[in-house]
Amino acid sequence: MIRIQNVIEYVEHYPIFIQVVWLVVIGLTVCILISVVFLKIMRSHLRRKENFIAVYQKKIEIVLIEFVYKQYENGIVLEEEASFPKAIRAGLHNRLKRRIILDSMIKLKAEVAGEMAQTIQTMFLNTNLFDYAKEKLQSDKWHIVALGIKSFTVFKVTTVSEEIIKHINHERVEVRREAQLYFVNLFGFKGLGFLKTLTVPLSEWDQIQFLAVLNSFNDQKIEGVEPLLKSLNSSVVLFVLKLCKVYSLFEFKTEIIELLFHKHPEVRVEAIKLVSHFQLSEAKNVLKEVFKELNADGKIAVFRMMKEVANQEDVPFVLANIQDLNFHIKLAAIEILKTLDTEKFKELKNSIHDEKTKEIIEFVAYS
Amino acid sequence: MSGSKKIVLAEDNSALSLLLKFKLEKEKYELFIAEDGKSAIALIEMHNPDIILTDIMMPFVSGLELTSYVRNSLRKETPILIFSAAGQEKTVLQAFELGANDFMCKPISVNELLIRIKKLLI
Repeated sequence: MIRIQNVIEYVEHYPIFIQVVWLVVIGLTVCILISVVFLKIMRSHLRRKENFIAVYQKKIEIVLIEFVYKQYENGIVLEEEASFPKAIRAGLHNRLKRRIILDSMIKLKAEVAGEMAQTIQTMFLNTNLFDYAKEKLQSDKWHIVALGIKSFTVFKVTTVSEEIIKHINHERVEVRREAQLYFVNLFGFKGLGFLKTLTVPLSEWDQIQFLAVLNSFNDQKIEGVEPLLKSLNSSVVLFVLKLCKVYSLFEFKTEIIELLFHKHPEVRVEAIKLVSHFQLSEAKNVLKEVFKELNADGKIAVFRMMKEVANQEDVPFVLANIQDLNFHIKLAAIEILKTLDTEKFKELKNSIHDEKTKEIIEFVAYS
Repeated sequence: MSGSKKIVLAEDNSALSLLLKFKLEKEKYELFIAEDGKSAIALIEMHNPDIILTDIMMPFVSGLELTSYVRNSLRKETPILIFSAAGQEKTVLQAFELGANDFMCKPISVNELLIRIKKLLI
């Protein structure tokens, strides 16, 4: 006590600035010590939790697999919750344990097919996991909502579609993606109805995923595509154009030709590519009319199409664009001219004075 | 009959490994489980299995690298069955080019797997 008093008296003799510095030093030291202790406690808590998760997960996996395997061997699927393993039933009332149980079930469900998958699905439907997943859909946290939707997709629960459609235009892309995948995975082509209400863009990755999922369905009956081609959401139109290409939906050629006048340049280019792919000769005259209004990609796509469908009556159009500044258009025009009219090609060869064009003509002539 | 047959399973999904352990051990196969390709190589070198079951996507050494190692470095003709996920068709073709004998798409049917194993062991 006396020593502390001595120290205080000793410090009081210093100027005020030194006293403040000492106070700051003491304060910071105390803060650092508290932080170290806090981090130590936090780290040991996290390690304990991590160890618990690893041990509990292992235990649950064994219990789950033993149960699934036993049912599979006996050729039965018990539906009553009371028939499920005690360890699983007990764990369902604790949030962390429930999460581990659900993760283990999802992990196994993704890997096995047939009766075993059916048993896991029955467990999900007949325990409170189903109710908790439904509750997750109402959560304010976006990642909880996404997890809820994902569990319904994995366990193929079709009865909650009305709840999930509410999230189709969610502000977070992760939630939207899960909701969209739910419909495509569970309902196939019929599930694409959500595209009618979709106001946000579909990314290229989403579109690829949808096509991959749709490809796995045995029922390839495609309905309701026509209104989607008129969607105000250009990413939906682009996706449906991909569908038309992959599934050769020639019956929508009128709607596809109409898209050549779409306000969105990317849609116009994709529509041109599709009419070119389908070799829709009736689209050729339409494209010639709108040619000047197209951007470079669109013009190149038109000339790529022309390579396949051009005939004698297209020679004036080809000649009119032979001096285009774009190399790809110029090259395609010269190649088409060579195929359509040899005489006109020779005339062109002799009349052109521009060195670059001459080089292209020479190249095409000898290729 | 199949009691002496050894299987090395390279699979990073512990739940699937455990399930296959139940089934294959019941069928009297001796099963060695590796959680990644690197451990699988060690098990193959140590136990000289009659068949190898491997997932394509694994930590450290993939199923493709494992297949290549068995065929090109160990110079073994041990049958290799690959587990792939949907959408990995190109990778499966690569696995066949490297010397894999069969493949199964996940989710797998345990009964079908058993039939394929028996067929590969003939």
